[in-house]
Amino acid sequence: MITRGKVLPVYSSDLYIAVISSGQELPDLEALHEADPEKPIIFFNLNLETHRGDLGLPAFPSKDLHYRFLSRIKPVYLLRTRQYAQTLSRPPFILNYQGALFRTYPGGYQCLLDTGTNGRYRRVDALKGRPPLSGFKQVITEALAVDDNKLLESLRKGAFVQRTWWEREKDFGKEASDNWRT
Amino acid sequence: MEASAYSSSRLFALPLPSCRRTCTHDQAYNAAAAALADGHKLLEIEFPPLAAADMASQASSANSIGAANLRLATDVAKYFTREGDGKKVVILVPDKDELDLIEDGIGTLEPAENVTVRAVRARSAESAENMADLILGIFSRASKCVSYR
Repeated sequence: MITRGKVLPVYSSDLYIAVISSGQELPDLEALHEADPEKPIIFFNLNLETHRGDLGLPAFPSKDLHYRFLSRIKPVYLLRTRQYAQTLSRPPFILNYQGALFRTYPGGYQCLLDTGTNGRYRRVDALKGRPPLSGFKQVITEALAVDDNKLLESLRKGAFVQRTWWEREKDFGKEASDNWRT
Repeated sequence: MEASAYSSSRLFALPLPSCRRTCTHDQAYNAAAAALADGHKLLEIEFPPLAAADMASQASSANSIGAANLRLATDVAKYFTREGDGKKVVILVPDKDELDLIEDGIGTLEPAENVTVRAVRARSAESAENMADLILGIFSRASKCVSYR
């Protein structure tokens, strides 16, 4: 329910850049957009991916916030690094590696593997749409091309495809837009 | 996973930025400007606001990350204000309590020409409609009822 009183649009501005907001404050930005719909809003380093994971938890907004609002936000510049560790059946037994998901609008999504030399990255895949979190990890891990015990590899992957609730294709119909993943 | 039909396209020719300055001064602004020109209104920009070592350091805090993001957002805002038609950009923080912290920290709410820092919502005590709202505003930032003037 939206009633008058708390959110403060600045109608004289041409552009908003939102910083620092937590997951609990995202509904305020939705209300701002509804109050001033023609004014662009840049969600700047708000870690929306992390906040999606909190939706539906006690004291946090519901998951519907993603379907009706967050799904409409287009990632125009995305540089997200992730660190992983893989267990091996042979020395060194643990292999640390990292990758980066990189996107600049209007281009697609590049999956980059850190080669471990002077911060250089190698592009291992390029996708039109945003890969799911588990999919990105799979791409990067396969690019390592580590020959290891197949049983361990299957145990690592698990028997089921693991996707976050907002990445499930069966729920894409609930989204107001596919902007967040295209 | 979808085949990489775009792998040889010029759309993937853009290299990783070599430094944070390139992120803001070049690539992020250009990407946002292109999306705005295409009619998009809700955009996301995300990149590490601090070096990886600083992000992982125990010495870094929410305040230091917030301060870094404010500086970087101001840098991006300046690019918009320098466009031919002189845009006015407002950097939004969640509430007036956060705004006070920023003003104490940087000494101004106008970090650059045509760039101002404002709060999305009024102060909790000012906007509480009843005692329950006031108490909830102290203990939780969850908006059960979002309002605007």
